[in-house]
Amino acid sequence: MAAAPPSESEPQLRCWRCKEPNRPAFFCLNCQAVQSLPSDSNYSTLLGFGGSPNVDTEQLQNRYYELSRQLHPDRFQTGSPEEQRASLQATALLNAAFKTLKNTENRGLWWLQRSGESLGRDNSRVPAALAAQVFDIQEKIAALSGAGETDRAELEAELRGIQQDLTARMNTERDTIERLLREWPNDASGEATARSDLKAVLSELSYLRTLTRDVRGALED
Amino acid sequence: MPPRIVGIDLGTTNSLVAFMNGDQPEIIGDPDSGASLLPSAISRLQEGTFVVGDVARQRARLHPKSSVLSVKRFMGLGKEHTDDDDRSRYRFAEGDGALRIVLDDDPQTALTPPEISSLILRELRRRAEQALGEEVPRAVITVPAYFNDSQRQATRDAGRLAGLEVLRLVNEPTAAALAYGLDKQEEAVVAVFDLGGGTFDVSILQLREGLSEVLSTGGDTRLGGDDFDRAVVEHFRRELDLDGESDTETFALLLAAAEEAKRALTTQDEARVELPLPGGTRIASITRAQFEAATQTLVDRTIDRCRQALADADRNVADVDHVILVGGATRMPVVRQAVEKYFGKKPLADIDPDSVVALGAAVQAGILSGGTRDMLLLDVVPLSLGIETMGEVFTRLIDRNTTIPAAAREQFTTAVDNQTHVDVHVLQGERELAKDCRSLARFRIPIPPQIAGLPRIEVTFLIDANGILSVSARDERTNTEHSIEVKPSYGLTDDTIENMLEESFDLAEEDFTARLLIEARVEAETLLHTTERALEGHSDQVPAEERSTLLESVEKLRDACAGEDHNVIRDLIDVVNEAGRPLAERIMDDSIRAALATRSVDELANG
Repeated sequence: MAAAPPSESEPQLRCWRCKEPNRPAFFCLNCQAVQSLPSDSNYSTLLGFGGSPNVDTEQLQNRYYELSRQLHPDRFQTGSPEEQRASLQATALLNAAFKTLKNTENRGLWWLQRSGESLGRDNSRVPAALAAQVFDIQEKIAALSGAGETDRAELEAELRGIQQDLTARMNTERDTIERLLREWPNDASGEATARSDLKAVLSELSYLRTLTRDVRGALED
Repeated sequence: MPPRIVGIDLGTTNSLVAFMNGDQPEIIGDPDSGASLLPSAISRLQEGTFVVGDVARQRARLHPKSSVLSVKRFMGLGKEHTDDDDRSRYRFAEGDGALRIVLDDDPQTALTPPEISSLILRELRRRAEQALGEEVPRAVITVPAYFNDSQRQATRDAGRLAGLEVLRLVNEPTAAALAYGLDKQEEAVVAVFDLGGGTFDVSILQLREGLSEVLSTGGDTRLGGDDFDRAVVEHFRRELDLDGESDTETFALLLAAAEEAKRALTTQDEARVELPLPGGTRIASITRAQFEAATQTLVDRTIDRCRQALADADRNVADVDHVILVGGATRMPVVRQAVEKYFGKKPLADIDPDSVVALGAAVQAGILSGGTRDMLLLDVVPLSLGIETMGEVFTRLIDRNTTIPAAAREQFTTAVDNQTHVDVHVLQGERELAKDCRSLARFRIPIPPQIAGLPRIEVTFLIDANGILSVSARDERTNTEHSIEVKPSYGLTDDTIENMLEESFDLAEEDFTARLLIEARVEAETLLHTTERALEGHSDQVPAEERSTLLESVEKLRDACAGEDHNVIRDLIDVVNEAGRPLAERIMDDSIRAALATRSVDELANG
C-alpha cells in the first residue's frame, strides 16, 4: 500500500530508496528506509509534537533517545553508502532539533523565526521596560571601579542583590516564554499578539543576559 | 563470519589492542612475551629497519636521534605548534604543513607523525593477527576527547598506513565509560578523569539505559604523566647541581630516571635512582613530600579543568555519581587524593587504568559489528568549529560540546563584481580571533562571474560520528553542487598517503628470530655503555684483577653482538652482569653514604 500523498503546504518529498512520495519523517512510510531530510524541516514535527511549539521536555528527551538508537550511524555500519549517508544527515538533523527544542529560549527563538520574525539588528537597544534599571546598574558598576574600601563593600553587596534579582527575573521570563508557546493561538489576530509578546520577552531575556554578564564581570575584577 | 574488528588505544606512552571474546572485552598481549602494553616508541636501526615498543624505548636512551617517543603529541600539528622542549629533543624538517621528524640528522629520513604511529599500529595488528589466527583488517581507534579535526584525521591516516580500515574514532574517556559497562540499568552522571602520558582529558557523561551521552569534555593536550617526569627531572637537576642545558643524552637519562622514581613513589615514601652520567654514576633521590611540592601546580591544573567541564555540563560536583580513573598517571597517590578530595568520593579503579580505554574500544568494535545492539554512544565535538570572516574574526558555526553528527550551513556571496571564486578558511578553537584558533583547512568555491552580492552559495559543514569534518557547497540560484577540494593545513593529502603506502618501511618485529636478535643486541649495547661509564668514573675503586675480568667479558659481548646468535649474546650479558656486580654495589654504597652525609648537614643547618 502506498503512503498518503503529503499535504500541499509541505514540500514534495520522495524516498531515496523506493521513490514513493513521503511526509517529512525520519523513516519512509512505505519501505522504512532512513531518510535524509531538508535542513528546514519542522523540528517539532520530526520529534512527534505535531509541528507545535508546545513541547514537553521529558517526552522530548525520551523521543530523542529512542530516535538516536534507530538513526545513529553506528546502526548502519554494514548498510549501503546511501543508507549511511542518510543516517549521518538524519542524526545531525535530530541532534540540531533536540538542542533547539530542549532549551526554552532556543525554542522560542526558533519559533519566532518560523513564524517569520526575528530579533533583528536593533536587539542591542535597551528594552523600554528595563531602561531605568539598566541606568542604575551601570552607574553602580562605574562607581565600583573608583570606590574606596567601605564604599566598595557596600556596592558589591548591592550588585550581588541585583544579580539575584536578574537571575530570578530571567527565570520568570523563561516561564512566560514556556506559557506563550504552550498556549500558542490558532487564529490570525491571536497569533499576531502572541508573536509580538514572544519577541518582546526574548529580546528582554537576551538583554538581561548581557546585563548579568556585565555585573558578574564587575564583581570578578 | 565477517573479519573481527579490534579496539586500539593508540596512547602517548603506551598502546594496546583488545577484542571481544564473546561478550567480554579482552586485551591481546604480545604472543611471545605476554606483555599487554606496547610502549609507543620507535627506533631506526643502522640498516634502516625499525623496531617498535620496549626495545625501541630502551634503544632511545643511547640513540635518542634515531628514536621517537610520545609521537602522539605531534599528531596533526605543524612546526609552529612545537615548543622549545620539543625542539631540544627532536629535529624537525624544513617546510610548511604537516610536521616531519628528522632521524639521525639525515633529512632524507624525515617521517610524519602518522607514519611513525603507523609503525606502532602495525605491531599491534601483528599481535592481534597472531593471537587470533586470522586477518585483522578493521579497527576502532581511540583519541583524546580534546583532539581537533587535524589530529583525528592524522590518526585515521596512521591507520590507513598500517593497512587498517578505521571504522570509528572514539574519544578515550567515552571508551573508558563503555568498558565500565553501560548495560547496567542505572541512571548516573559520570566524570572520567584521564591523565595519560601526554594528555589530560576530563569528560562528564550522562548514562542511562545503555545510552552514554557526553555532556561536556575538557582538558589539556599538553599535560600528562610526562610533565610529572619533567618536574622530577628539574628536581634532580637542582639536587645534582646540573646547571644549564643538559645535552640530549643526559636529558634522556634524567627523564628515564625520573619516570622510574615516579613509579617507585606510588608504593614507597622515597625513591633512589642510578644515573650513569658522563662524569660517573650518581644517585638521585626524591621523597613523596618533595614530589608533591614539585607537581602541585600540575595537579591543580587538572582540578581546574574538572571544574570547567562540570560548568560546561551544567552540573555540580554533588551531581557526579561516579568518577572513573584512566591512564597510568592516575596511579600516583597525589593525583588520586586530589580527585577524591575535589569530587568528594572515592574514584573507581576496578579496571586497570592502563587497559580500560582499549577494552572500551573493543566494546565499541562489538557495537559496530552488530553484536551488542542495546548500547549506543552519543559523543560530542570537543572544540567549536567555524570560519574566518571579515576583520580576521572567528565566526562559530558549531559550538563545542555539540552532539555529533552535527551540521551547520552558511551562505557565502561576493564583495567585488565578477569574482570567480570565494575563499573559505575553516578554523577550530574557542578564541575570538582567527589567528588564535587552529587552522584546519582552506578551500575555494568556484563561481560564475556576477555582480557583487548576487551569488548565493550555501556551504554545509558536516561533522560525522568520528568528529571529522567534511564540506560541501551548493549554488542556491542554479541548484548545482560545487566540488570543493579541501586542503588540510597540517594533514596529508590522499596522494601523499598512497605514496607512503608504496614505500612502506620494514618492521624488524615481523621476523621473529630477527626480533630476538635485535632485542638482545639493544640490551647488550645498553649494558656495555653503563659498564664502561662505571669503569671510567670509578676506576680508583676497581682492583686490577676485577678490571681485567670485566674488560674481557665486555670484549666478548661486543664480539658476540657482531654475530647473529641471540642465545650467545644473552649468555654473555649474564656474564658481564656478574663480573660488574661488585663495582655496581660499591657505587651504590658510596652514593647512599654521600646522600646521607648531605642530608645530615642539611638537617643540622635547619635544626
